[in-house]
Amino acid sequence: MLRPEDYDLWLDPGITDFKRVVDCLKPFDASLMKQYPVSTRVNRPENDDQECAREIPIADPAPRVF
Amino acid sequence: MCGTYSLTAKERYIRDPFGLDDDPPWTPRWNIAPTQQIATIRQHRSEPKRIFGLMRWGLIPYWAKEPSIGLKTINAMSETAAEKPAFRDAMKRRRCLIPANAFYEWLRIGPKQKQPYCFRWLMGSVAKSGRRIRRNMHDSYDQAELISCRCA
Repeated sequence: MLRPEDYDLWLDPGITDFKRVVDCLKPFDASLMKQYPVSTRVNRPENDDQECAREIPIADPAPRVF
Repeated sequence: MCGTYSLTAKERYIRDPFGLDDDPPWTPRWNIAPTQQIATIRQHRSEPKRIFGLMRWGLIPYWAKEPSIGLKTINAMSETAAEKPAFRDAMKRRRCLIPANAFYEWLRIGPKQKQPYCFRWLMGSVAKSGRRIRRNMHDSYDQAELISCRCA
């Protein structure tokens, strides 16, 4: 993920220096994200609606990966 | 790695954070899969403006015989994105933003069972980094690939 302050640099076609570009790709702060289980509806691409992103209760939650 | 994501923001919530002049033509989507058309934002070559465009998700290098290779090139890891010669040029010269609100990952919970999880940004739309290629001069569409970072 990119930080908003890096958008300009990332998009600038005049910047071809790998190091400057790669420096934009830092790990994203996990405290700015929420992780929750969803229905297996999302397994099928033809299901494209709000239900795909709705949190569902599960009996045995997986450990947090982030 | 991200194999499915969502962009549920309405037009102006894509326009404003990403500096577009106009509302982009986008209908909210919750389940965007590889090979589909995805929303991308790139910089105009000579003018100080950003351009919204739809691109096919998955890079197909010019030497590929089968477009199916595009299924293997939906993601690049940020740590190694600059290493593969086929895509080095895209990384160097043709970068783009890929707006997203959430992505999905499947976690194994049993021998044959996987549970999908949604990872949602709490602050609205953010940009995944991407790079793009045009397959050849006769192709009218562009293609894009996500570059994923590990989360801290």
